[in-house]
Amino acid sequence: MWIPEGIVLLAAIIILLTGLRLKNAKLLAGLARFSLLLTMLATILIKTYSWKHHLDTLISELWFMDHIAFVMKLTIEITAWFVLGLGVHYTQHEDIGSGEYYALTLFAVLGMLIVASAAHFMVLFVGLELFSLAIYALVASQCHISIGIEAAIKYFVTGALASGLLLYGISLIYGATGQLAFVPLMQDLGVIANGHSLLISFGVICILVGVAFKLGVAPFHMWVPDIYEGAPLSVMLWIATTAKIAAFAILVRLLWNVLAPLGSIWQPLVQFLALLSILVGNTAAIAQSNFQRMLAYSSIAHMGYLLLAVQLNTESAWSVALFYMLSYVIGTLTAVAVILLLQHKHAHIKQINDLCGLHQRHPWLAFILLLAMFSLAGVPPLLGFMAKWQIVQMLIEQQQIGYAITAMLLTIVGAYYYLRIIKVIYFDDLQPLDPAKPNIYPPALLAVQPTASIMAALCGGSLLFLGIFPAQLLQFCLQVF
Amino acid sequence: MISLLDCFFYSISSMLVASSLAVILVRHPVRAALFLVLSFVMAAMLWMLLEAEFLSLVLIFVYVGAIMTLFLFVIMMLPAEESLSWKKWRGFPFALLLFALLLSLLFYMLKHSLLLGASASPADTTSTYTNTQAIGHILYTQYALPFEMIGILLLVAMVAAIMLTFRGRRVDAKGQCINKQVRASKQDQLKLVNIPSEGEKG
Amino acid sequence: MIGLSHYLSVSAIIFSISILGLMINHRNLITLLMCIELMLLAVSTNFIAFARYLHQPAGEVFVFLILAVAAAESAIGLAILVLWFRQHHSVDVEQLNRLKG
Repeated sequence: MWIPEGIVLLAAIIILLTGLRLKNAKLLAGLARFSLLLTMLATILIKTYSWKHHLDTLISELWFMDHIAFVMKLTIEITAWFVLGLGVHYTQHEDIGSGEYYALTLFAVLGMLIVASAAHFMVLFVGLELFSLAIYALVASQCHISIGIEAAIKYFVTGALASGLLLYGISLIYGATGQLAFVPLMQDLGVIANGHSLLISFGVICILVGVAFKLGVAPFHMWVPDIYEGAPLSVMLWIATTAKIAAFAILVRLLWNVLAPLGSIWQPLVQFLALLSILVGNTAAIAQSNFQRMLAYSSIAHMGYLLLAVQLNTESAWSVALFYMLSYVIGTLTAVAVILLLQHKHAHIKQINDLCGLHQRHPWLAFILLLAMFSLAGVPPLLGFMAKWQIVQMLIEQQQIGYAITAMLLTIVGAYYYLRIIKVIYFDDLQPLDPAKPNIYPPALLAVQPTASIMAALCGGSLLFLGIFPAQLLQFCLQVF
Repeated sequence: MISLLDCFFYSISSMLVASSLAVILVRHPVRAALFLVLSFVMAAMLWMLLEAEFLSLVLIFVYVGAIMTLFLFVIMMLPAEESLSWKKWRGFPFALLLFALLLSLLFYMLKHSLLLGASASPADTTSTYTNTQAIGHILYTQYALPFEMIGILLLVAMVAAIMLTFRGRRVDAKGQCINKQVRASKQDQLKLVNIPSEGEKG
Repeated sequence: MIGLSHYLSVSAIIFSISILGLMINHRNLITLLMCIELMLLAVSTNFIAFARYLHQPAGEVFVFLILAVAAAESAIGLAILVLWFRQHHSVDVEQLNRLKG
């Protein structure tokens, strides 16, 4: 039952020990990725085994083995595999790829896997802290860079505040019901859903605010742009994709597996958070000149769309939210993958204007970035469009036409900043780096990285492919809930 | 009618609140840390009143004994520095307002909520009951899984703290090289020199 | 007679104080860490009071976990603080303005 987690733990410890002698980042990353492959295999095997033998989906009230856990674990493992593969060269270049770095990455994966299976507040809390603590340290791993530490401080303080609020909410709900395990708690809450006390409502609000901090939605988003800008790129990719999936897993466990009967309390709040995030994310992104900050605001807006599906609190709405999450993760992964491949004046690309004339230098990378931007903006026929379309369709079905129209209008506002990047890539002229040497133009390839290039192409291709043929993936998402 | 226990409760909790206020209001970090120690001790006594002896002692051992020592150690390592006064901060009235709002909200919630399931009286304990045994009994059976995870969490904290603060070995660090010591032979270390004795000369 | 709500009130006061502390001391990292400790103390008191009046030790086990997590958290927080100090020779985080929020 705990084989995937066991493999990750063992690999983390092995990497920690070999990292003492071995200073080769490539080898360590390879080891980590190999262990993640094994973990994926183990996850699938256990799922098929328990499905064949009709094993219980709940182990001693602590551990879920259901479809949600399976899907969340698999997506976490796959994105972690991609993130590690894409970041290898960056960690080498920036000299942060020590054994501890990769061990902490695997510990973070372990925490996320625990969160995905948690069926008890204790397990959820410990898993959450496990991956948060590992990520705090990873953000600060460039010890000599000031903004990295600044980002770590901000992330640490907001993260600790979020877990404090979450815990306070959990304690209130525990006091009102006497339950800490999800399954009996949900039954109890179903019974008292109408006559609930103020204690429970306050607990739900505290929990929601705590999760909103972790997910990075407005008005609890202040930390997100700073962390995206300050953290090392490979860690930022980590926070933007894998950690977001884990935060979504927490959201699913808390709102769907525990608090679903109390929808009347949290649905209006989630609606408010969703609309505010879409508004703040899309409008603030326009003013950004830094690529990573723009991605941060874009992620806030995307979390808003996600919550717009979540607030419906039906099985199909949660499936659409999962579908949306996948589309966001693949889109962000593709965009950052291209950035990780490029350089500007011997450093990584920071400003959007550094991408000037990418099309003339590297038409293929420009095309992949175009796919990512179009998908994040929601342009047909890409995956991002299908995901947004599903959410709008769902809102109309549930008679929430006003929200559907607001979401669509703000999508058009949001399209502006994605299109600006495409304008910079395709229509702006190359600017020579140095007037004396007119042949050398940025942006250039950082180095030839065949694996990372193939991965970037794979992500971009899947955006296009899944956008044209989304039926399979959508069907899969519908079966989860 | 006020019983002795009530007296205890009110004196302990008022000191707890006062020392927590002092933690956030005093300007010198060492004083703040010492007030935090006082808060922890008071909270431990409060927990003792709730008959959670094990946790109350753990709070003192782990917090006052280890974590606050770590805090004080770090504070002492950094040069003494008075923090900027919060009084000069312009957002202070706003923060105070928010504080009052939160506090009144919490009190309103406590006053108007029926505590479902919680009985009016604390658990009646027999003379053979020990809190340590009760916690240990479920910690190692029912909740063994989160208990194991805590072990991993502490490992992560250790690795992370070392990774962040370790600056590499000093160049002039003194260390032992076992290999060299074992391989050392008499020829390398000892040089036999023939010195004519003094007596022959004279 | 002291009841459950008395204990909960105390922990509510401590919780509010810690939130106030996070707001007014947002410039001093050490005090921020102490406020987080206070917040976890309030939560733990809540859990213990509930566990006592619900007649079940599960809440106390949760407090055990919170204590361990708080220890780990403060260790990492202090490590980050030391890193910050090495660069700026100050624990004052007023200079947290390179990244415009």
